[in-house]
Amino acid sequence: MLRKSVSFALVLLLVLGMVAGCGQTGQQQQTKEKELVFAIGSEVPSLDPQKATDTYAIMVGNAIFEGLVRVHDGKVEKGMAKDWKVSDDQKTWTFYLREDAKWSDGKPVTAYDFEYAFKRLLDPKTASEYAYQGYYIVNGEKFNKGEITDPSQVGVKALDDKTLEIKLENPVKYFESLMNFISFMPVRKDIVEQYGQEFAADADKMVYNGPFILKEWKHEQELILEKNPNYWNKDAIKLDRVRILVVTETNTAYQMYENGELDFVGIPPDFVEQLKAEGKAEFYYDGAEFYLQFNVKRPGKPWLANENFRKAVGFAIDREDYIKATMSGVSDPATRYVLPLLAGLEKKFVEEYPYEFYPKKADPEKAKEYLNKAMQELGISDPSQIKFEMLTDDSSRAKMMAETIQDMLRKNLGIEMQIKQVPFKQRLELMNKADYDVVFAGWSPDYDDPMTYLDLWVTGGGHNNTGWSNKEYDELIKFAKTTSDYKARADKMFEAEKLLLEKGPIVPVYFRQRAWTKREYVTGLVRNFVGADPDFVYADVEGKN
Amino acid sequence: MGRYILNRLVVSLITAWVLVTIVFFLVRLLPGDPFTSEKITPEIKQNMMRYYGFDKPLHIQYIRYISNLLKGDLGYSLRYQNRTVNEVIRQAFPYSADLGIRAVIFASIVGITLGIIAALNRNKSLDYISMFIAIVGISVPSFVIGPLLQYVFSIKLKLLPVAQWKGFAYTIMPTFALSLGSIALMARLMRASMLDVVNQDYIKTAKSKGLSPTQIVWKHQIRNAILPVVTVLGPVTATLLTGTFVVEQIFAIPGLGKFYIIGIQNLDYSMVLGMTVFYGLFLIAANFIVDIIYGIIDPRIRIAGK
Amino acid sequence: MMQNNAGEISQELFTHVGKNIEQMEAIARPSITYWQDAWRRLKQNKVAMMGLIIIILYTFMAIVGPYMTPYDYRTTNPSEINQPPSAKHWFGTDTLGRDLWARTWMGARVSLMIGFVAAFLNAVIGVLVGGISGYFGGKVDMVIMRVVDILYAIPYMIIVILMMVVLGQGIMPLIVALVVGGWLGMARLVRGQILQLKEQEFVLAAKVLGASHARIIFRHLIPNTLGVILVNLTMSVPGAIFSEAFLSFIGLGVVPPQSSWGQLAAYGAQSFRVYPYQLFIPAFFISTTMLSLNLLGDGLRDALDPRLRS
Repeated sequence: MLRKSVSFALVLLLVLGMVAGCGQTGQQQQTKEKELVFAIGSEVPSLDPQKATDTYAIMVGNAIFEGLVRVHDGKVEKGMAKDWKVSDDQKTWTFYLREDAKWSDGKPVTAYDFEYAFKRLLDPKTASEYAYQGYYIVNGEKFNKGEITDPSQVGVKALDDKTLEIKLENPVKYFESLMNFISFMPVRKDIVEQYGQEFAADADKMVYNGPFILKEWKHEQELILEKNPNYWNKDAIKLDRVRILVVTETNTAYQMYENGELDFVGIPPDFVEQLKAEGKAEFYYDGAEFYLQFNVKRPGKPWLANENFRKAVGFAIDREDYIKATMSGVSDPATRYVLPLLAGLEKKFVEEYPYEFYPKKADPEKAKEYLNKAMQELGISDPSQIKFEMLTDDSSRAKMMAETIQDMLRKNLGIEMQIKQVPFKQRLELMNKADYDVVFAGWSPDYDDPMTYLDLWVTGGGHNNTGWSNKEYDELIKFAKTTSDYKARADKMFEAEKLLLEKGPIVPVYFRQRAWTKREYVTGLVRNFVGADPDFVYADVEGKN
Repeated sequence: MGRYILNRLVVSLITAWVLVTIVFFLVRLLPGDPFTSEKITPEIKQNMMRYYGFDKPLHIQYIRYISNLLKGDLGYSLRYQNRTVNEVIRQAFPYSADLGIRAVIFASIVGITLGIIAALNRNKSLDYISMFIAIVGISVPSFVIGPLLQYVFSIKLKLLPVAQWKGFAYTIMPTFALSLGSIALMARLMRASMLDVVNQDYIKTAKSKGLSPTQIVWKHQIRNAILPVVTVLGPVTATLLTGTFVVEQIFAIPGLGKFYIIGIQNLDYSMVLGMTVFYGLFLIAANFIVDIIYGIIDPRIRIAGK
Repeated sequence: MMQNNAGEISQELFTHVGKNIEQMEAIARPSITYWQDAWRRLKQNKVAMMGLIIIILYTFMAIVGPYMTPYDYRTTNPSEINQPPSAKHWFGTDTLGRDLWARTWMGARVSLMIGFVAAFLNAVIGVLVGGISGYFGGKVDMVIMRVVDILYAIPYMIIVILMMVVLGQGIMPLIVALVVGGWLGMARLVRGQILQLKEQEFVLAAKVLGASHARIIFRHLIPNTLGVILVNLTMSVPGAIFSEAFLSFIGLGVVPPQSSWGQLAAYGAQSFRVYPYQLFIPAFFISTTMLSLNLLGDGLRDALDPRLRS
């Protein structure tokens, strides 16, 4: 009887499955418009430009909003501004908005919308997490910190409907591309005030000025974008619709791709090899760099303050094996500190200033050499006396990564490193309180310039919780941040990088890459390491179905 | 009985209040704060603390939270900055409830049936088959069974959609994955309870009265043996209806489950509290109903007390 | 006999015998203790014995297994990653090239210990609390059950993270974390059973004979619900094994590079399509442990059932 009912249930399951399958194909044939479908890992927490912080909001924001400029594939293009100029001291920028710039409700986009948005970003009452992005602007930091309360003192001003003037504290080499950042997207005062806290909470609670509008936002499920008929450059936009599904599990997303439900997808680590062999895997840097960060002021653990010890650890790590074992070979060994993609003067910074501090493979001899030097300086005779704990995140992958380093240090240095896994927020809290020995940490660039990494380690820097302080380093960074001589600036940044690797509190491990695969008909999709990723604004799906 | 129910309602409210109070303070004890992030600076964090009123003394915050709660206002989420927790629950709960109800019904029917079959065929092959199903059910967690189902039924057989929640076909695999553990527990409990009951005096009495075996099984054995299953059904229903993290993740269902986890990970205080209140009320109600069902199943049980 | 003299019962017919524990349930058989008898009957149950043997075997392998292979459980080997089972690596290797035979049996130490200890402690606490709550009923029951409700509704992750902060990393904090949330289900279950059983005639009989509350609960009520208790106990073992993996990942449990079956299964689940053995080996051991426990549990239940004593 049981067997019978089981087989009945199976038959039922089969029939239902077939019915469902039919319904699906019927639906797909209806759409003749060009539609791009892909998945993101989590719901977009906020699409309010001045409050948004996460990568998905930046990605969607890039499509539904447009700043003064548009950055596509690393190049600055005209956006809402049709033209702009900068003063000789590189501190005053004037942007001229295009006449045909319109919001999705038909109203013109004005310089006042930008002024309002920039000041809203900096207003302490907005409580924007990314307010610091506006600290380049004259009095921006003071206004945000409540040191001045009059917003008219902030260095951004609409001279008329179509002219915006921005005054900076110091010359900023990457200022143009910064204007593409989500925090600097315009917003309309009337709409913000109408919806208050619920501004941008739903598709009908905001207006759009980008190539697409948000047609529907089914929270935690999908975002449906449609081409914006009011967009000035609408002829360059090929897609009629973009559907962004929320699928958290990478394996689920990948299976949906296999099933033909998505147009492109990230490849889960275990499938990389297979797809690589088939020539279907593509790779890109997502901008994140990971490193070991040492707490040099840790009581009772003087070796953490010893630069030779830190270098011993750095040379004992086999970066190539590490990447092969923990990420199926996807990612690049970090042989230096500056991410290989960041802009230099003309080319990439790393091309203009080539350098390799750590080798890709481990160098046990050099590691031992540094260790012996360190032990001599510390008056230690046996490496087993050296004890420290590495703090890392709470995933199974983080554990595996930590175990790899643990084993490399055991093999190459004879040091037994402990591993402590904690949830993300707890890790940040322990870092902020400098309550750690060594932490496995990462950083993603805010803008396309080596400074986004280098200024982390200055004395008193908001994120420098290593206790490391070096006058020479501080001087180099200070110079680079204030000069308008961009060649000298780059030279100093390179000096700072070398100094950091030699004496600094960090040991770079890897530059993260992502593996992804797409259907052949998908073209024009750009993967970025800074800003919107993916950038699908000019993508096309000609030949789909 | 009427007085008991009234009494119990009052106690339920007090229970909920104690729960909220405990969680309100516990969540503040967690290391870190809602706005700690990799990139934030202390000054900006202060702006955010002030914005949400976290700069005020804790007891003031508590009073404010409770008075809002009495109005049914769970506050704005700290992570989903422009959405209220009420709104999040309103949007996500229907999905979780839909899936949960399916899973509870499926699990109860299959679990109880398997248990009865096993008990009536004690130590025979049907008993062992039932046990085997139960053991597979409880030893294979949903993070394994979910991807396995997807692989077999979607990728290989092309019968069912991989994930999401857009129609009946989408519900089959998640329902199955979600109910598997409960099926196992219920089947095993039902079997054990049936065997406990079979030697009780009233069954012997029934036998001696000359009732047919079928009558004994239906009228006495099952009715008296179902109690443990009813007991576990209380919390199981509350849990499944208010969303389960793993299954909703694997099948990309926009339910409530993830908000517990994401809420705690991000120290989204209002989200965590809102979820706790919501789940807590469900649980209290479910256990309340279970106690009343006890009395219906077995009139001798007097929960109302002495 | 009594019926014949209906209506003519006089005081003289009765004498007060007083409370006599020994005679209350005097054993009129050759004196073999309850436990000896249970063991004798358990031994006759072949299926249950098989379960017991498998568990003993796994425990034995947990002790000696890691030393049966020349490979260390924690040594990575980049040139031998993700190798399927072979004569060299009996269970294959993992993503870091570590020998899975060694890791599986090292993991067995953690998982078996955690599974048994946590399940046992949960059962003891749950039976005690549930028994008291159900037996006394009324206000006692109301208070205890509302406390259980509250503990049930507090998000487990909050408790766990706070424990990690207070207690740190290790096996003891892990067991405490598993027990804190683990006994609640058992308590509710036992309480429900006791509520039902305590209204039955044999309880009344015991009360009339003057048995103490503790004696009624533990000698009369609990044995009658033993089947349900044992089922819930055995079924809570895999829960503990998988919770361990979760707790270890958030830094409460075992210290890397130590592993466990739960963690091995969690890794394996991510890559089962490419390296199925990495999932199936730990899953096999978890399932067969469960099977053995259930067979043993059923056997124990029969062996301990007071009504089946012969």
